[in-house]
Formats: sequence, structure tokens, C-alpha cells
Amino acid sequence: MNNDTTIMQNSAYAHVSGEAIFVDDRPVLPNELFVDFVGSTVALGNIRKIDTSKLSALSDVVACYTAKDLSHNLFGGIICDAPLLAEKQVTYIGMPIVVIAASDRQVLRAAKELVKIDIEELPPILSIEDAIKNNALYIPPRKIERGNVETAFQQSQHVIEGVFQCNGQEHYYFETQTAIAYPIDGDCLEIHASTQHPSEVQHDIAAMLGIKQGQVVCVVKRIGGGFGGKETQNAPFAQMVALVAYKTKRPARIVLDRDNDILCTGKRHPFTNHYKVGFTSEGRILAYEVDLKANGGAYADLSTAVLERAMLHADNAYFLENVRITGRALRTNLAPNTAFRAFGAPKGVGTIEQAIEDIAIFLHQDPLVIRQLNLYGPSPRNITPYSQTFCNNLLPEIIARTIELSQYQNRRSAIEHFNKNSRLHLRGISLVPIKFGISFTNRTLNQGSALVNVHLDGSIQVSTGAVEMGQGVNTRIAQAVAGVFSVPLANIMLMPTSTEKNHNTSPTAASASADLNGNAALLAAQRIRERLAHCAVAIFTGESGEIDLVNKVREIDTIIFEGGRVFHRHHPENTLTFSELLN
Amino acid sequence: MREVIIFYVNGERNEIKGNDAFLMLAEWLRKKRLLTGTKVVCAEGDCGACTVMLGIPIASGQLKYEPRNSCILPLFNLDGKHVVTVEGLKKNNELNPIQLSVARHGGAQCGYCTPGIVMAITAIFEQHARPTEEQFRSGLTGNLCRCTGYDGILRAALAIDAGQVNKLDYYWNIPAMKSELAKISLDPLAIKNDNTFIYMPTSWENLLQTKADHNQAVMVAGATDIGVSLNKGYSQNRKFISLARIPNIDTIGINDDVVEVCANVSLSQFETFCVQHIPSIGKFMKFFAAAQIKNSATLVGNIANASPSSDTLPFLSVLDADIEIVGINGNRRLNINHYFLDYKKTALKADEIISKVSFAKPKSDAHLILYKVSRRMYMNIATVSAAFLVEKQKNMITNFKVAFGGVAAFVKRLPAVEKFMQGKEFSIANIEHATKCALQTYTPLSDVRGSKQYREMLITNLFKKLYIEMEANG
Ligand code: FES
Ligand code: FES
Repeated sequence: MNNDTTIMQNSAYAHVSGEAIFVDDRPVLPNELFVDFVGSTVALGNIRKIDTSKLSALSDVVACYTAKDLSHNLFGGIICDAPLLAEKQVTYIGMPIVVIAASDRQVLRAAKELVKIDIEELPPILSIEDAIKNNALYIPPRKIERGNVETAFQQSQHVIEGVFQCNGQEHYYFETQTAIAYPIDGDCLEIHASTQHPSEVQHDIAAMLGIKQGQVVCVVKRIGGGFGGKETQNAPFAQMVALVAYKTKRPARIVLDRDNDILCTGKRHPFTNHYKVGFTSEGRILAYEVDLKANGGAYADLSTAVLERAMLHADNAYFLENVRITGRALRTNLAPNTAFRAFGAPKGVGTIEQAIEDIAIFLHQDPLVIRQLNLYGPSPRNITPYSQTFCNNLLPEIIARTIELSQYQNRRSAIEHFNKNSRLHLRGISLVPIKFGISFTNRTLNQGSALVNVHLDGSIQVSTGAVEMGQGVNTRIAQAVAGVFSVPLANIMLMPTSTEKNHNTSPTAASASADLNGNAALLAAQRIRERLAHCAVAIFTGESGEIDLVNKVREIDTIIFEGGRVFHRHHPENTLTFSELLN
Repeated sequence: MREVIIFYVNGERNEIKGNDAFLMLAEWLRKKRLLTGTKVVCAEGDCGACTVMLGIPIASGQLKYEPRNSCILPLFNLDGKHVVTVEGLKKNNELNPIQLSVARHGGAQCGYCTPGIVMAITAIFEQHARPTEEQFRSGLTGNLCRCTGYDGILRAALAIDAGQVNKLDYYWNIPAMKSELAKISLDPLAIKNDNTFIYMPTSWENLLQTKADHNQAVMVAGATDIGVSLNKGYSQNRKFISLARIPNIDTIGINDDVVEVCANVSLSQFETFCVQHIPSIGKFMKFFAAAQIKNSATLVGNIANASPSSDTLPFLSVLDADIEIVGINGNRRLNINHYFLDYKKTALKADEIISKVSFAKPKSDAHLILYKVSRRMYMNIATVSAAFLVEKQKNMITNFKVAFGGVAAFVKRLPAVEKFMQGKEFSIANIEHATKCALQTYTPLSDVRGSKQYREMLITNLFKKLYIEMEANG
């Protein structure tokens, strides 16, 4: 890692010098407004009255808006059920009700205190158990089933039942939810937002204001961490500043303070999963049944997709001949839970891993032995519960090699020895395989977008649908493009993701953005290289005039791009630099 | 009496008047100076993203640089000091070796924590010419990163060629600045507005009079607690009196085995002193917050604050520390165990000030054993903390003192347990009896840090741990 061939994150120098610009690092314009909102103080209730009259006492408060001021007030990518601003009912603590804009940041805090909202409080549903009792489901229960589970349980020598529970988790992206809206030419908006999904921000803003999508541009230079928390949940805050900017014709900025961000945005889904596993005396699983229940919070958000991914990972790396996987996404009065790294998969994986630990404890075995025994293998043990054939299964070899390289057995006995003699501390070791599905389960989302601009001096600007949030997507894409033209990495500039260049994009999510958008950039770059090769053929072979695109098609293969230079395979002595060719 | 605050930022002079004096440095840097490299992530001193270096004039006329969390550092506390931000680390527009290493070894992913990380490493090199891995780890405890998992950061720190690193004085050796700061840093200072003030008197007499005149004013030292309260809106009280300019109260010493800690002694100073003189406390102080906080916060401030979960109060309690109180109507001395009255309520009167705390150094054959259980070892306040002072002759207990934090409205001793253990055999049976007795005295609450049951289990386990550790060590 220490040699000079290491490729750095392409913003690394800007990060360490403090010069990398994030949304709130943009200077405040003289007429800019600061935006915040008043949210619900109860988890469930009916709004009786919203009184904003006292705000007029503060001269710095420029505007305040409620649901009545919106052209459209229902959003959601999968199920359209979430209001931006509560109108009649509040359904979680922190749910926005009133948007306030002030010319002074300090005044906003005082202003929020002056808004009086009268709410009739109702008993909320907070837990999975209560949601089940109330049958509060987002979609009908889902089920994946194969084989004959009942018979297999009867034939099993042993059966164990258990519950896997996993609580919520806060994303704590370092940069809180932030957005700035600039009015452009009266009726257009330029939005700078800390979002993983610029297209959704653009579309939701247009819908909310009743304007054309083309009137809104959303720009994202980089974001200070997302982890799923900014896939859908930056949009409401971007909408708030868009509302203010559109109505007041002044730039508007929102920067959630940390406490408010934690309070009112969704988290990782809590799950409670009941499972039952039947197995032989060796530890081979004959039957597995699992019922997954996700606490989705107050609106659907991505909960149904998260649940499905949890179900699709319920097998983890193990062949389950007789299996029943059921799942429910439940409506409660928590802030709408949302995407979070691995998107539900850990809940499916964790449950079967817990079942395997149960089996191991019951049989007095090392859990690793049980894992190896149940791994996917050659046909017929290579079909997933959802009927996909598991190809290129390297897991048995990977595990065997990991055992060897990690000196697993030695370490395990050392730990056993330590634990026998230690009165204050215990140690443990575990080796667990993972099979994880890269890409979106909604297949139309598996598409990328890229714009590649080659400039006359040989520098190349690349804009893609992928948002840089520290995962290094821009660096990978820059490498791909540099490779196509065989130019130094320093010649490639990764430009902000922007919906005027990269539109109708998928969110940056699902561990696939570099592959999807990188391939888009690769295709675009190759297309440009082909055209340049046509020119090069003309130059090197002395032909001039119009390029006959049809007949020269095969000849372009004779043009080599290498080490920043371009030449004809048959005349390698004549070379051009990349920028000479461009000129 | 000066009525304007003077400080330097990256070599540039600033004057601040009026209500701006109460702004936090990070906010001011970002919004007023457009120095946006300094980031605000938590606004409560927990994450280090806002770390800056503070140059403080010392006797030699030079500046001593220490790391601070600028999110909870009010501008008034900068008077007479030099702030260096991440923008102030380049010379001739070139990145320095620390920055280069963090960039080249994967120390930055999203980059939001990175300026703070760079500053924290800078601070480590100010203190140690050739830092060890342990010193890097300890110097970085006040910095969170959500992306890297810290591996890249540590790798970057270890890869720095210490011989190439310059101290901050190399970048900011401006004689005129240094001499001005040295001259003004002891001036009496008063900023007075309609609803806010900060007074920094330079004599006890003035200080006590000011405190008597302004009952509602809050005493302030490092402002680490006040900064959080103001940022989070827990308090709007911006009426402060500072001890910072009273001469000779930043001293700590030991006389006839009695340790005396004056009001302005920072937790860093206290730690350094204890490492040398009372290793059991020295070792424990390592887990009290990170450098950014420890350099600002004071031991006396910790006592004044009277947090029920404080890390220092349990050991001060078992050591029967004396609190010296001064006031316009006379001075008094109070055993710390009579000082706490209720949740954050103390025996201190509105016109009184704590001037120092003193305690007898534990005897050489006494065991002072301190525990802290918290979610984030260094930075979080304790879920449960405990101090045991045990003296034994063979296996007979000749002295047993115990205090727990985090399990009641204030840090409390356990007289019944102490009485029971006195003269008893040091056996597991007796420890178990003591545990039972402790559980009857304490009434832990359930909160975000842990449930009542969890805290009760911790009380039980800490007693057991005491037994096992003492048995193992003879
Ligand atoms: S912003 Fe987190 S410590 Fe200052
Ligand atoms: S690099 Fe993202 S928080 Fe540290």
C-alpha cells in the first residue's frame, strides 16, 4: 500500500487541505434565507390547530409555509404515501408541519418556539408486536417456499426454534441532511443537496411545486457520508428549501442540526424474526422456516424492498432443501425507516447464522463445521429458494483457504485455553460466509448514466449518475476512462453529478454504482475513442477529406492509444500526443 | 479594562465586540471568515471534526499549541491566543507531510472528518517528536470517523516521516503577533451587552465582588459544558465570569502528601501530575475524554458541575477531598461528601466560588481502584463508575471506602458497606454481602446509557471484579 503506484481517492488532497467543498461550505449570499421546520412532538395525533401568528413579531422571519401551500403533498418511490408536511395527522415524532424561513440563523430557533401547534394525542404503535396486533401492513405478507417443510420437520432428528432480534441503527453520516436552493431566472431552481438520489430530489420538487421537472436542476458535488440515509430521505429537506426559494425568489438553505437529524429521519429497520430449524445429528439442515417482521415506521419509504432483500438473504450461503420464508413490512409510528448499508440483508443472514449457532451449541460442535456442512454445493445443492442457480460457487474453497491462512484451528484452541483460565475476560472467534446480492432487486434501476467531454488540450471531464460519498466511485470511474484513452489519471476530472447531464438516474446505492455508471462512462469513452481513431487513420495513412465512416470501420483497430500517445500499428515511428490528435 | 477581544487566526489579527463574543469559534470561522475546512458534525465536543490548534502564550514569549474543539469554544475564550485551522497548515501552498500521508494512505473517504483528523495528528506531533502507535491512538480518541473504520487513519499516521514534520511555530513564527499576544493575554477584560456579559477580572477581590454583584452569572473556565448547553439550547444564559486571568491558580502541587489542585488546573495538567505522583489516578484519567476536551476542562469545573456520572467525583469522594470555597462573606472548607445535595445541586452559594480542591495522597500500601463502564470508553460519560480505596493487613480489611457514580442523583459513598467491611476478611462471601447492601442503597435509573437492571448488574460485577483483581495481585 505504501508504494507510489497506489491510487489515491481523487479528492484526497482537497480533503486533507480542507478545500473540498460540501453543500454548507458554500458562502451565504447576502439575500439568502435560512430554513428550518417545526415538527410533531407526539408520535401519533390529530392536528387541531396550527398557529403561526406570533411569528410576525420577529422581523427576521420572512416566510412560513404549511401543507396548504403545496401543489402536491404525497411522495414515495415504491408506495406513494408520505406527505412532506403533515396536514391533518402527525404520525411520528419530528414529522414536519411548518416550514420557516428567516434571514438570520439565530432567529430561527426562537421562531420555532413561537409556532403553536395544537395536537390531539392518540396512542401510537411503536413495536412490531403492536403492529402485528393491529395488522398494520404495508403490503400483503410475502412468501418464498420450496419443498415440503412440514414433512421435513417430521423427518428431522432435532428441531430448534428461536427468535432473532435486531434493533434500529442511526446512520450518523457526518454531514447532516443539507440542501440549498437558488432561484434562477424567476421560475427555475438550482438545488445543491447532500443526496444519494439527485433525480428523485428533482422530481419530488417539481411535483411539490407543480412545475416541470426541466425547471429543476439538482447538483451534487460530493456528500459527507450517506450509508443509505440519503437515498430517499434528503428529498424532503431539499423540497423545503425549494419551496422557500421558489416562493420568495431568494436563495434558501437548510442544515439540519445533529439532534434534529437523529430525531426525525429514519434508521435501519428493527426486525423480529422467528425461526425453526430441523436438522440431522450431524448438523445438516433438513427444514428451515423463518418469519421476518420489519418495523417500517410511519411511511412505506423503502421498507418493502428492504424486507424483500432480507427474505432473499434468508438462506445466506446455505442450501435449504425444504424452506419457507415469510415476511411482513409493518407500519408503526417511528420515523420512516429506510435504506442502510446492506439494505435488510443482515436480518436474513443474521437469523440463519443464529440458527446455525443454536445447532452447534446443541450438538457441541464448532459452528464452522455446521456451516461447511450446509454450504451451497454442486448440483442439486445449488438452487436458491428463489430458484436462481448458484453458479461459480467458490465458497467451499474460500472457506478452506481462509481456515488455513488465518490459522483458525490454532487460534481457536488458544482462545479455549485462555477462556478456561481467565476470570475477567472471554474471547471468541468466528468464521462466517456471506452471499450477497449486488445490484437493485428492481431491475430497471440497474442502469447507469455518463457524459464524457474531451477537451482540446487532452483533459477529460466525466459526469455520471453516481454520487461520490467517500466510497471512491469517482476514482474508479476516472481509472476506467483514463484506461480507454491511455492518458494519465490526472487528465480526468470528475464533475458534479447533475440532473441536467445525468437525468432519470437510479440512486447511488445497491453496491453497484461504480459498475453501472463506470460502464456507462466506459461505453461513452470508447465511442469517442472510435471517432478519434477514424481521424487518426486519415492522418497516418495520408488520406484527407471526408472520413468514410462506413468503410473505415475496421481500420480503426490499427490505431493504438498507449502511454498518452497515438500511433498506427504499421507505422509506430509516427506518433501523435493525445492532444495533438485532438487538434 | 479592555472591552474588545483580540485574537489571531492563521496569523491574521481579529477584534471582536458585542454579542459576537459569545459565538462559537467553529460557527464564526465557517460563516464569518469562510474558513470552511473546519467542520461541525456534533456541535458537542464529541467527534473532533471541528478540531483547531490553539496557540497560548507561555513564559518564554513563545506560543504553546494545543488541540481544541472549536464547536464549543466561545470567542471570548480566545482572547490573547492564536488559532490555527486546517487552512493554516500549508506553507508556500504545499501540503505538509501529515496531510500528504493522510491523503496517500486512505485516511480519508468522504472527507468530512478529515480536517479534524489532520489537526488531531498535528496536535500529537506538537506534543511528541516521534509519536508511538499508542500515542497516535490516544491522541485520536476524540475524533470520530464514520467511513474508514480508522484503519486507514492509523496507517497514515504511522507512515508519517517524523523527521519531516515541522511544528506549528515553523508555519506561524510571526514575532509581532507573539509579542502582542504575550502582552495582552493577562489584561482584565469585560464585554457587556444588554443581556449578555463576560467578565475576566485579574484579582480575587474583583472576582468575588463581581460574583456577588451578578448572582445569576455562571463561572466559566474551559466552557466545555457551557458550549454544549448553548449549542443545544439547554441554556440561553450568556452571563459569564471567568477565572482565567486570576494569577497563580493554574498550579497543582503536593505538600506533606497533600495534593492541592487550584481552580484553573486543566484535566490534562491533572493527568500529567497524577501519572507521576498517583499512578492509579493517572492511569484512569487517560479514559477521561480526549485531548481536545482535557486541555480545556478543569478538575474544579468538574466538581462545580456535580454530574452524577462524573469520572472524577468517585475517587475524590473516597479520598475525602476538601473543597476550598471563597466568597465575599468569607472562606470555608467542605468535605466533598457534604458538598453534593441532590441532582446537580451543591452546597455552593450563589456568591461563592471554588478556589481549589485538596486531598491526601493515598498511602503507599493502600489500593485505590477505579472503574469506568461507558459506551465509548474515552468520550462518553460513565454508565457506571466506581472508586474503591482498600487497605489490608494480610487478608484483613483495615480500611474500606467505596463510591459509585451513575447510580443515584449524585455521587454517593456507601457508609453501611464501609462499616460492614471494616475488620472483615477479604473474602468473596463478604464482597457478596457488600454488593447486596450496595444494591439496597443505590437507586439506578433507566436511561439511554443503560437500564436499571443493567446498572445493578454492573454494580455487582464491579464488586466481583475488585475481588478478582485484588486476589490476583495479592
Ligand atoms: S463538531 Fe463534533 S467535536 Fe466539534
Ligand atoms: S471519511 Fe467520512 S467520516 Fe471520516
